[in-house]
Amino acid sequence: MEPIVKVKGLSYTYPDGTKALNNVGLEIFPSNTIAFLGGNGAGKSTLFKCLNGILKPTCDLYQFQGEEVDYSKKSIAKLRESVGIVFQDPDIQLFSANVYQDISFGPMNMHLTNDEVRARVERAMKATGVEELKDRPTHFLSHGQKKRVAIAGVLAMEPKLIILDEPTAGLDPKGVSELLNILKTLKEELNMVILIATHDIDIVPLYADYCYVMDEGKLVFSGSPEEIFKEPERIRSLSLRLPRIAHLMEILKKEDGLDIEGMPSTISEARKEILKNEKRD
Amino acid sequence: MRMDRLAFTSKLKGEDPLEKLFYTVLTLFVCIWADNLLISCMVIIVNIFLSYFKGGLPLSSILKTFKAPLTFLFLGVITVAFEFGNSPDYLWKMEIFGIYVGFHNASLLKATHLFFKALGAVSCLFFLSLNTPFKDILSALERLKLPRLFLDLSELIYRFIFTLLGTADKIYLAQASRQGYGSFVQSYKSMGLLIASVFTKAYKRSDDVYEALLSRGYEGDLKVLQEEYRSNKMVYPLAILFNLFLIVLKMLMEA
Repeated sequence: MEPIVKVKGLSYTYPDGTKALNNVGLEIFPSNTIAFLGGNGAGKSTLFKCLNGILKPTCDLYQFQGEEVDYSKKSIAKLRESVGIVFQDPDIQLFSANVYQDISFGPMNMHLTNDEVRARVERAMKATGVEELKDRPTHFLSHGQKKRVAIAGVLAMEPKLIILDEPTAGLDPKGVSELLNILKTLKEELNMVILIATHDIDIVPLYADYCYVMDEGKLVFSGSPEEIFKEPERIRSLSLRLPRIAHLMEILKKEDGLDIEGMPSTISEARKEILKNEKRD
Repeated sequence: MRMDRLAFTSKLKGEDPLEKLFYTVLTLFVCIWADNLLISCMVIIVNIFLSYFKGGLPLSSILKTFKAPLTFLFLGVITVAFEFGNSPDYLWKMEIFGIYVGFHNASLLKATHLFFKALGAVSCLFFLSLNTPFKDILSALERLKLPRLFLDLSELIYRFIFTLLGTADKIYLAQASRQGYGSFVQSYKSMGLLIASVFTKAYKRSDDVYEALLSRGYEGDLKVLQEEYRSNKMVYPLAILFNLFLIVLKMLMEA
């Protein structure tokens, strides 16, 4: 399969001299959900801004859907239509006092007809469940509601790839579960490529098909969630941790001598392994 | 802030803002031009009536919004009511260094006129802002071909006033929880720090907002889909009729 994003040797240095990204290379395949893990300041947000064209990095190669991205004005405009970013703080992203108009901002910039924009806004509002917030002013919404409106604003552009920076940060459990449902819709119904940066390790084995681990501006480690969590020592040395379930299974295996295959990190996998041991006894 | 919240509950919210703006501005000018007690009172009553019956807003909320300007008006008008000099017809006077200070019939009348004229004008603006969300007023101004830059800036300022206030609120709490406002001197210091950090935060945030706009394809204009408003063709003739009535009334009283 052809990758939708292909990046080689991408580096970015901030004007003040901080080297934020150093020789990053990655390949992202269609209909995948990719998790980007790494401590604060590892370079995740900077990488996302480079992928969307807000920042202009130096790179040996950046291909989007097989087309070379040269960061010219035209290619940046195209990039911003195909790669959407949902920022961590929705208060930064929502500029309009009117929910409906904020969502329409992205598609309006794509020079579509008003009818097409209207249709896209309706679809985006439906996918994120914000229809009933349509007539409310942005500044009276709760954090979780603002977050969903921010996602709708990006979704209305109908990008091929959507990036969510810390989507679950600051949400209450209900907000988190609403957000994860939206992720599921994006993935299963809209068949989108999703990139998430997250510190919420427990959602990674549930939603991610592949993980990239970043540290000090470099991609240091990548693989499927199973492959990654099989190496707890390495994960911990990068200021991350195992999912709680995987941690429990690690202890059961090491301390209590349970016979556990691999590193189950979701409830259903762990349940299967524990029941297997139970039957054996 | 409370007015802004009320505007979103008004039943007149969906009406064309240009119609409301037209009525407001026309009535405002007629009220100031007429400078007449009866006309001012009529304008005030009609505006409260419109917000209450047509806008469906609670009467107590409408009256409460008048409280702030009332205080200012009252203080302002008192200075007009007082006269200096040795005019004989003082209703009440006192002597300071041989000069009489007090008020008499004419000065009281002048002050009352001024008071109601100003209140009438304010009531027009209140009718508009109690029944029209700020964004809709801007879209009406856009249709009147006001410069894009001015409107975009107003929209951003309006939107981010709430975040700015929220930030200030959080910093205040953080300071107060550590006795930052314990003494008078401490309060001054803390307030200074608060203002400084609100503005540096706002500056940093403006960069972030700009990046977020760029990421959605911002090209210098905040282009959004305009809302469709209910249009009531009767508003223009009714507004004109009402104001003609006021003008004729004024003329008759002068004659």
